[in-house]
Amino acid sequence: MKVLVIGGGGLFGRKTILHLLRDPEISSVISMDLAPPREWFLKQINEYKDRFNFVRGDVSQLEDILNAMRLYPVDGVVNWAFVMGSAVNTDPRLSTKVNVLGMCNAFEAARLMGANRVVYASSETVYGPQEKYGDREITEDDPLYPSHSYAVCKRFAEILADQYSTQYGMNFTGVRPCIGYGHGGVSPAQYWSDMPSFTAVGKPYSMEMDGTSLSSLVAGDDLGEFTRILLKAPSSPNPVYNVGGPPKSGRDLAEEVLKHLPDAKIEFGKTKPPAGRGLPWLVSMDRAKKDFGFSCMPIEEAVLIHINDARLEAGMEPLKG
Amino acid sequence: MKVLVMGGNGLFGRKTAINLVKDPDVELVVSLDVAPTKDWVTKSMGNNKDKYVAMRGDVSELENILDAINIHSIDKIVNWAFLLPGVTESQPRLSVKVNAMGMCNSFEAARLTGISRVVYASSGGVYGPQTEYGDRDVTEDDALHPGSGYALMKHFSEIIAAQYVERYGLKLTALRPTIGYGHGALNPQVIKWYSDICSVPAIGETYSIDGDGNGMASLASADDVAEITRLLLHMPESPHTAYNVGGPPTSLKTVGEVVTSYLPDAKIKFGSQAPPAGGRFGGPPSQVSMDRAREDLGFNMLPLEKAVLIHINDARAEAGLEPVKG
Repeated sequence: MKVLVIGGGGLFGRKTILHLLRDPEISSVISMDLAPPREWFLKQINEYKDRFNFVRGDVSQLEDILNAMRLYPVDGVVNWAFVMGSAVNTDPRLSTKVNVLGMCNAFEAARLMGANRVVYASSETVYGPQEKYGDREITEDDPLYPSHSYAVCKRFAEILADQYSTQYGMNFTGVRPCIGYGHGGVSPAQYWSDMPSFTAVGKPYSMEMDGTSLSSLVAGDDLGEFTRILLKAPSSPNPVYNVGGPPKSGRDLAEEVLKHLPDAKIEFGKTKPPAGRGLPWLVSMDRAKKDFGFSCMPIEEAVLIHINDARLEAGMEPLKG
Repeated sequence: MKVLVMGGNGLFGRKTAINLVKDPDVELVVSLDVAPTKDWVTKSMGNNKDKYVAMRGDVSELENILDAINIHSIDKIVNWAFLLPGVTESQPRLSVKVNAMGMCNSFEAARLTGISRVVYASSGGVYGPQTEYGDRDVTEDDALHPGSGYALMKHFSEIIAAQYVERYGLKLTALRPTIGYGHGALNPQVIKWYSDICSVPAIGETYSIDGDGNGMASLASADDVAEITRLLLHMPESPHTAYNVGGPPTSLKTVGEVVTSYLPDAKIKFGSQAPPAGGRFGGPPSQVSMDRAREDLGFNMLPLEKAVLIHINDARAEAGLEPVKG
């Protein structure tokens, strides 16, 4: 199988490429992104470099995707390219071009080039806040309450995928990750990525929040592995899957970091978490477990990978687990 | 003022153009559309048709909009170019290009050319069904529950509009029509029902439907939408960012009775199929508050009788028949 990963330079993209390259049944992985792959990532995939290619391209330009697929024909497409963070709330043109048209371009390019299998990024934000559901796990069959630009675009992507599936007989799977974290991750909840990365290279880490707010977390490696599994299935029994672990706080994460780095300097402030945080923190993974036998890795394991990615970038020896 | 009406040949667009050319303060109306203007539309403009120009252009192409603005020195923009449910589901690519990129292009073109005033199409669909709100009028301040791809893109339009206002100082106003109707409306099915029940008997043909005609919907005639658009264009900015446009819950049977009052020989046949549970059609809410438009703009919807008469006479104009007297 040959796979194009759009947005291959981001957190989820890099990890998807890594997990795909580790699979001997994947003969070729192409990354398309505006930014070239980082040096540390190229080191990480060095042993598989003959099966990896990078093509510079912009997801908002259909012809860029078609060009990548013409240069390196593929039978599967992954789209992780999405604008998030402050840009999604301040740059309406960019979010329309990337988050709406870009997703459609990914689907359209797959259709035009005959790549029938597509895995794409939805998000837990389609659910709206946890308060809508009470103190219970949210399932993929629950009603959706997308309210802001990012969430509306993610929900729209799911509807679009259904329409492409119906119209053109293509096989789509949407994943709804919770708070993604990993080395180099960029997110509105940046501390999940920065705390292990800073301390891994001997830098202190401090945050204003008191670290008690709960989130469901998904490591970049969880997404990478689940995407690999999904791509190898010709289709999925269900159109969308939650991807998120049990509720964790910043203090829980710090405890895991300290297990590996006992001298790590981590400080929390006194700011209490805001009421109604706007994101679910209890999501059911039953569907992914039942359909694909997939569960998110234990946080201990994910944090060790995260720390060692940061150390790899800094040219430091990895920690042993 | 010189106004560019994108989607100027659709149901709302053509009525907006017809209404605007009658306004002495409007110097020029340019319709940008992929479809040509129908003859009955230009005829309806009478002596004012010299103030109207039709340009072929695609809202999904930013340069088409910029071209129209440049050629005609436009200073205000209306965007009615939108694909409706019934088309969006089977043409996902086209709906993204028109409903998402097209709307963003209209805002972006305004920004790039220094035009600040834009009135654009949102929809009552952003609210989701009436059941979300109970048995009361839905106001513009209520929480939104868009469910379909169409409604999500309307909500997205309002979100990016707010960002264009915040970042670039544009003066944008959204209209949230409920079930829009008027001569020649095609999609979705419920809009076609409410449109055909006037247009078909107007030219002496039989209108029949499987439904029993008792389902209720809030209606917004194309002339209502056109008039509130004209009022909004006269204001440098609006006190609020979005306005409902919809009348009280009205059944097809009620519209049929009004049609028959003008055309006693009209052949209108209802079947026995009951309306959906709750007696309301899906789509936008059937009860929306018009208080905001009334207070801010002094705008009131046309009485159903008047809207139906205009509708009938539009259909007759297209068929070359004499108008019915009110």
